Amino acid sequence: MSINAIPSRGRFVNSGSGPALQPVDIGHSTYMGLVDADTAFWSLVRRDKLGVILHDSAWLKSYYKKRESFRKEMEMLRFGLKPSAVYFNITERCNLNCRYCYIPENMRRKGKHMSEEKVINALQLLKAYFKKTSGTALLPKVIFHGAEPLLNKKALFNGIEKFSKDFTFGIQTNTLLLDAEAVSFFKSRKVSIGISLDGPTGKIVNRTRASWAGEGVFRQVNRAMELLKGYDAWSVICTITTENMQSLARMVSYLHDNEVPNCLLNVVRCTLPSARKIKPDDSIAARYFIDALEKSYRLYKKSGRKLVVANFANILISILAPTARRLMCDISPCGGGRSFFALAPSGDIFPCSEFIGLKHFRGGNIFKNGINNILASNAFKLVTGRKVEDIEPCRRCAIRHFCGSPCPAEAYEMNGGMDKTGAFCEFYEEQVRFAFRVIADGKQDAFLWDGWDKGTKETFIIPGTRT
Amino acid sequence: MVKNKKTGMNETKKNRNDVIASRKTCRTDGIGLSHYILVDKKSK
Repeated sequence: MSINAIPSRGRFVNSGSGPALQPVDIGHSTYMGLVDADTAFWSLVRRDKLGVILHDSAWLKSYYKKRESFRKEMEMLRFGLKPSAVYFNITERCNLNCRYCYIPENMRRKGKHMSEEKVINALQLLKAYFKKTSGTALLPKVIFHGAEPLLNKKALFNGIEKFSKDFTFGIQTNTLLLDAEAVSFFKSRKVSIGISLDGPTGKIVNRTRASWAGEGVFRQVNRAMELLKGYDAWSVICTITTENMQSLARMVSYLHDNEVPNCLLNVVRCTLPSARKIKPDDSIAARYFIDALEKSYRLYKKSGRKLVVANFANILISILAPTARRLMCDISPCGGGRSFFALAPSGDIFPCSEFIGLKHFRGGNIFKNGINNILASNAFKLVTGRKVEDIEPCRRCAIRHFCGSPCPAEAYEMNGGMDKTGAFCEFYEEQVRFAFRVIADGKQDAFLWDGWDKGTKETFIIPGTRT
Repeated sequence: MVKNKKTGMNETKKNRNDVIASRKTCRTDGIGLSHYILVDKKSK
C-alpha cells in the first residue's frame, strides 16, 4: 500500500505512518544503524547523538521526500521482475559425490544426459521466450550447471556454439574434465566460468568433495586454476561447512595467491539431510567468515590486487544500491522462479537448481508446457510467494531486505514450511553488521568490484558520506 | 586507527560525520545464486 494512502501524515518517527526507524547494533565503537526496513533505507548515526539526530528535522525531511520512491523501488525489485536467466542442467550425472550436494545421489550416480537434439531445442524455446519478455539491453543468460555439465560435453559445446549471439553463457564445473581445450573454447566465447574448491589443502578439500571411489580433487582443481589465470571472468565457490570453516582465512590467502579474481564463500545449503550433518553453528561460522573477509582486506591493502568475496560484496551492494545486487538469494522473494529458473535434463522446470531433487516443486516441462504457464504454476507460486513479512522473526527484523531469509528450499525441507527461516539466521545478521561496520569506516571500495556502480545514479546522500 | 574492543577490528578515524547515509539506483539485472555468480555480461 502506498504510504500516502494511509490516514496519517507520517510526520513522526515510529508512529502512525511515519517511518519505522529501528536502531541496529552493528558492533561499531562510534556508529549504530538506523534502518527503515520496509524501504531498505539505512543510515549510520553516532551512538552518542541518536536522540539529537532523531530530532534533526533537516535530514529526516530529506528522507521523507524520498521515502515513497524507495518503497516503490523495493516493490519493483521484489515483485516486478521477469526472468532473465536459466540455470540449465544438461545432465543428471556427476563424477563427484560431494557430501552437501542438493541433487539426490541416485540421479548423480545413474542419471541421464539430455540429448544434443533436445539441448538445441530447449535453447531455441528459451530464445523465443526471452525475445518476447526481455526488456533490457543485456542478453539473457544461460548458465550450464549441476550436476557436472562437462560430462555432456558435445551437447554443451554445440549449444554454446549455435547460440553464442543469443545468450550470455556461464558454466559451473568441478574441473575434473576442464582441460586446456575446454578452457580455450570457453575463453574464446567469453563464457563465465565458476569452479568449486573447499579449502587450501587436499586434506581439507577431500573431506567434502571426492569422487565416488573417494579420490580427492585438489590436484585437478589446481591444474584448472593454472589454466584460468589471467582470465577475467572466472570465480571459485567455496562451501562453508564444519569441515573447512577453520581454514577460511587461509583459503582466502590461497585464492589470492592463485590470482583468483572472485570467490563465493557460501555457508552450506541444508536442503537435503546429508548436508545438515556438516552444517556449522551460525555464530562460529560467522566468526571464521568475517576473519576471512578481513584477511581479504589486508591482502588487498598489501598487494593492490582484490579478491572479491562476491556474496559479501552483494550484501554491501544490497545496502548501498539495492537494485544493483547481482545475487538474488538475499532478497525476498528470492530470485528462484522470478529472476531465473532451472531447467533439468528431462526438460522439467523448477524455480531454482536447489529444487531439482524435489518433485513437488516441478512447474512443468519445457517441451510440453509453455514457460509462462510454468512460471504461473502453483509449484512456482510456493517459492515466488515466500516473503519475509510472513516469516517469524523476519517480519520485525530491521535487516530483512539485506538478508532475505534464504533459502526457501531449506525452509521447506529442513524447517517444515515456507513461513519458516532457512538453516541460518545469525550468520546473515553478522554479515550485515560487518557490512555496516565497513561502511562506517569508509572501506567499502576494498570489498567491491572496481566499477560496481557503473550505470547507477545517486538518489540519496548525506553530505560528507563516502560513496 | 582505533581498535574496537568488542569486535577486535581496527577502525579508521576518518569518517566521523554525525550521520552517514547514501543510496544509489539502477536497472535491476541480478540473476546470481549461491551456486554461481555471473562475472561478465554481454550486450545485445
